[in-house]
Amino acid sequence: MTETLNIFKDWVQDQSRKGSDFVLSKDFRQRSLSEVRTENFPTRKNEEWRYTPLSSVFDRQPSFAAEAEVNPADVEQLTAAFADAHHLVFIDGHFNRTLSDEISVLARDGIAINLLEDLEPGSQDEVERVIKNAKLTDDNIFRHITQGLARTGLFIELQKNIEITKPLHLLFLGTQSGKTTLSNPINVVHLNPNSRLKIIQQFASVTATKALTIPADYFQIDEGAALEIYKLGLESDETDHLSNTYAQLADAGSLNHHQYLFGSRFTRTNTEINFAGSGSEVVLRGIYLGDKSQHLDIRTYVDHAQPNCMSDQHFRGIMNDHSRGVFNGLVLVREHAQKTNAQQSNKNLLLSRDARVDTKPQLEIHADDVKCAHGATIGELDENALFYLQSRGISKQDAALMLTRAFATEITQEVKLDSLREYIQAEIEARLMEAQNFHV
Amino acid sequence: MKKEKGTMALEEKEKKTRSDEQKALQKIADQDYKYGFVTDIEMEDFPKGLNEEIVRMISAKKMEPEFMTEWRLKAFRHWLKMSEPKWPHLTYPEVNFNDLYYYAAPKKKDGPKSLDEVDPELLATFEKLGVPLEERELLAGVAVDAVIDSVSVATTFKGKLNEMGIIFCPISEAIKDHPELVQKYLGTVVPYTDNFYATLNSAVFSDGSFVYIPPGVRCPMELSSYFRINASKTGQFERTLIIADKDSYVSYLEGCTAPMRDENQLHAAVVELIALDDAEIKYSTVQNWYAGNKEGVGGIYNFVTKRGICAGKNSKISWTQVETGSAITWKYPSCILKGDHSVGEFYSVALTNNYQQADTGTKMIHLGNDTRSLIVSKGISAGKSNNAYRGLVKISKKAENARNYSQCDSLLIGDQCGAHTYPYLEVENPSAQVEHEATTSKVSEDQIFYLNQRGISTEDAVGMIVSGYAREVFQQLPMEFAVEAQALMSVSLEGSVG
Amino acid sequence: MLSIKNLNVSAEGKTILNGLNLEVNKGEIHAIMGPNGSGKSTLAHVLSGRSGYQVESGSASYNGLDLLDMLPEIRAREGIFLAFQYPIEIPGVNNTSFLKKALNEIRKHRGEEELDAIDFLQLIKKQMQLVEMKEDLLRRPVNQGFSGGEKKRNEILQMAVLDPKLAILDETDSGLDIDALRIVAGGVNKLRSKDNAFVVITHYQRLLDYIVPDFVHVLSDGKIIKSGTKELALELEDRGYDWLTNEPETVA
Repeated sequence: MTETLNIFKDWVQDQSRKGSDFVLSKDFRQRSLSEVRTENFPTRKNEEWRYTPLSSVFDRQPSFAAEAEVNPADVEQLTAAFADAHHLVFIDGHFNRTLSDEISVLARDGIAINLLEDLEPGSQDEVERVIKNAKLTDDNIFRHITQGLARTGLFIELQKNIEITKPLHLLFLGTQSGKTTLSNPINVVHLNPNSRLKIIQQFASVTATKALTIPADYFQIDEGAALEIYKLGLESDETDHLSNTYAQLADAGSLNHHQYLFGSRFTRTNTEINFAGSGSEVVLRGIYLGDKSQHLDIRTYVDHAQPNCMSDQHFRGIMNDHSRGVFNGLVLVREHAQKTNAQQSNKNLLLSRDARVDTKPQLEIHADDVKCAHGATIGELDENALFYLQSRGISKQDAALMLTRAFATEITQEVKLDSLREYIQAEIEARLMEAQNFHV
Repeated sequence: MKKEKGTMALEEKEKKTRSDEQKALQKIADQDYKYGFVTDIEMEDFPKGLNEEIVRMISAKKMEPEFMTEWRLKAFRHWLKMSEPKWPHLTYPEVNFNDLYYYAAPKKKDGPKSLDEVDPELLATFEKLGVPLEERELLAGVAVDAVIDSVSVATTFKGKLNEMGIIFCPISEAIKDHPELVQKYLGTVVPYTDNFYATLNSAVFSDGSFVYIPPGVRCPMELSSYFRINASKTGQFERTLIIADKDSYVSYLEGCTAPMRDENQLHAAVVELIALDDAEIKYSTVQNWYAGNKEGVGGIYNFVTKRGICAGKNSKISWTQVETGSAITWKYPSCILKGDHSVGEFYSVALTNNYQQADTGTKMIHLGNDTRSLIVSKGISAGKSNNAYRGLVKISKKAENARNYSQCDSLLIGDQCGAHTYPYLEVENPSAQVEHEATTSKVSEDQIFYLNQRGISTEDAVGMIVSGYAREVFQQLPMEFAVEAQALMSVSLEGSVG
Repeated sequence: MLSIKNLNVSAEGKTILNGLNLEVNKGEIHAIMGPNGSGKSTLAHVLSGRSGYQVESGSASYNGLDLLDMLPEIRAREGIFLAFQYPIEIPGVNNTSFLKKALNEIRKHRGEEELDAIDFLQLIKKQMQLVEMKEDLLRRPVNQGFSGGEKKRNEILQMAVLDPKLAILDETDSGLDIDALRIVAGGVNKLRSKDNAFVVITHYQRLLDYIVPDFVHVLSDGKIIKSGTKELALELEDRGYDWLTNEPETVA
């Protein structure tokens, strides 16, 4: 293992030496890369990576792909689902201007979108300030690699009191097979007071694409601002996806963060929330659905550092075939964070003899006047319900499908954008049909 | 004289039985640690420190057979390669293992044959502890294997138990008298390689209890043992081994108290339980060792490894613990559910106050088919203490139709304390149903006011609310213990609500 | 028995009781009515010693004792009983043991001998008939899993067992159907005597059909703006409170 790590580490340094057109300041990049040390590589001795071995990820050395020709039809097919959205398209780790909406047009609506590659040297301060402000508890090497080797990314800023009703659709598409492509976009979103924004963050690939996707998201939500984010993980079976998300909320901020993770060979998402003001609300939702030998690991860390905030987490896992699901969530209520209301729920369906679920919902509470609860369940479909449906003439497979769908719908029904909700539900349906146990 | 004492105690007891549980919560007069005294008995010590020589000396002193000496040495050699575990929610100064005495025994050539032979001062000690042996013998039908610093000094009811084929004796005696049983079972549930403290215990354990219940026998009385740490700077390494053979039943009670000292003392016990086909073991603990003073000075470090195996079909192991003492508690009484249809239970109340730290919970390892486990954990944090539940439920791939339900609640008293819940659920078989729930609550001002308005003082009100919260666990304790446990809670909470 | 003089009380910086005067004598039933937010419940809370209120000025004496200076449990032991508008649930604490403990604390305070389990059970069974309460409620935790009506009956049962000198009923009628109301009121009527007194706080007149008061007071903006006999309650039922609150100040 050490050997593999060293090779991977050397690869990172090598990319840094060889590469040009990096988008963050040299100082900042070097500080990031200095964190990519052998001792910082996550291993299973690290509690946060207990159930998630990374050897298969480190076995591959990805490289930057050149800007590739892409069949516009492939992209249109993906953007058509969200016709009522602004589209920004990234292909194999590059921003694609042709396929994206005109950024200057968006600016007219009061939304400032800066591509990191367009920032003048020396004007990256604001972006770097937001990133530096983020103190992650699972400060894994991947976000440092993302930053150290960043060649594209977005800095989105909404001015005070601006509400953008049309969602922003960020599409990250992989097209390269053969060699593993590195895709490491940075998304920094700053909502000034009382502004509101919706984002659909879609990770997808053209069939059989090989990639290492390691996005880093930073959300700064000012007083009274509201951010809604829907993350779709729909990449190919040959893709590894490791993301880090950090959100900080000032007074009366609101974050609605959904994750629908169905794709990739290997997925790990780390979502950390920091309540820096009071009266804020965070809703975290997610479904991880695995088949074949997918590994899906969801980590959340919610830091109630200030009083009178609400967090509500609900994650559901559906594991087919040989897949393995991990939920690892922690709610921290600090001293003085009185009147905190924190809920955390994780439910899992095991649909195959060879699937496995490990879950670790955790509470750390240092204030007494709080409402905190968590729960977790793991099991198969309810036999009584299955039988009931069968007794009404429904085949066992159909009954199982209906119940599984219903299990997922309890989360997806909270997606407020109609076209997106339908899209997600159709994806779930298609994937369930593909899994062995629903073969008719 | 003795008679008189006995009668008084009888009256006491009757009063106790008559009064209901709230009575037990009435303020116990003395705010300081009730059991804080030092028994002045001549002690026989080995030199300080730990090396192979000391391990051999312990074994030789106890006239152990060869296999035991070898086992101890293997453990010691393994221990040298290990390092102390670090836990995120426990902080304490490093223990210097070379500054401890590993053996201390009351200076007596031969063991006492009856109570009359027991050092009167020791008996007085037990009286102060509320464990008057003769009264227990007469009134409660409890056989007490009392352990003061490592060596058992009195065992009662031996005769009656002998008749039924039940072996209940100090483990040092069992090693000599029943080596085949010891050799067969010792270290089979907690191997000498298990963890830092269990390995240390395996190398240097001084004494403890041994129980064997033969097939088809239902032990007619609660077996009880009181542990005390007495000599200054004596690390205590108790070892308990309980075997319930086929279709047998035993209920074992362990109570712990220690005198007050301004110096931290280490306690690293190992308890192994083995339940064969259709057997049931109920193991109850009330632990109120010295917790340190209000500033967090002193107190016992309680690093215990307790594990049982339901080796046979339809077997059952039930752990019940009420933990109110120790400066630091680190223990996870666990069940390995190997036999089909076996059942594991864990009921726990852990109360921390002032600067106490507790990290406790259980592991339920489901290996057999149709195995069931239940976890009920009630944490109570007050003062500046930290109280963590840490538990593992593992359903292995071959365990069909396993069921687990866990309920882990926390009660906070005041805004300076911490309550933490770390459940680990690992499921590799889809036929399992595993469910974990946890909530956090506080003793609300409304509740206290409501009770105040009915004439009940705030201190009593808190005691009542806390006991109500922990009721599910208290119900698992034998009556005698339940009353004592509830009283302990009130004492431990004194001064926590202003 | 109870004498409140010019009582001014605030909570979180807001004045709630504003120069309240009230005299209650043995054997009397006083009804206190008034619109929402007039300070009715605050009065009940202040008399029983709930925290969170600041007494700015004025006094309340009870049988010659300075009431405001006493701990809530001492007031209870001295014979003040509050029937809560929202009785508190206390998980795991058995209803019977709770009440036995309460009664014995009060008896101890009075210098009486404590009741043992048998005598207590006899007493409680007798008093339960008064409120037509099902026996299984005794075995349950205090107020937990009780319906709204059961909670209110449980309050009256406690009152019957503890035998207070001054009982304050804080909107005991709220959320009760007519049968429950009749039972609760019946309990109160059986308990009234020449030696005790009741302060009945209510929003509606209908309770007073069953518990007939000697005096009716209208509380508004933290003071009593009108006092009268039971006819006043009927008038309020007819005309509401507006005609009073809009009138120039009347002397209570």
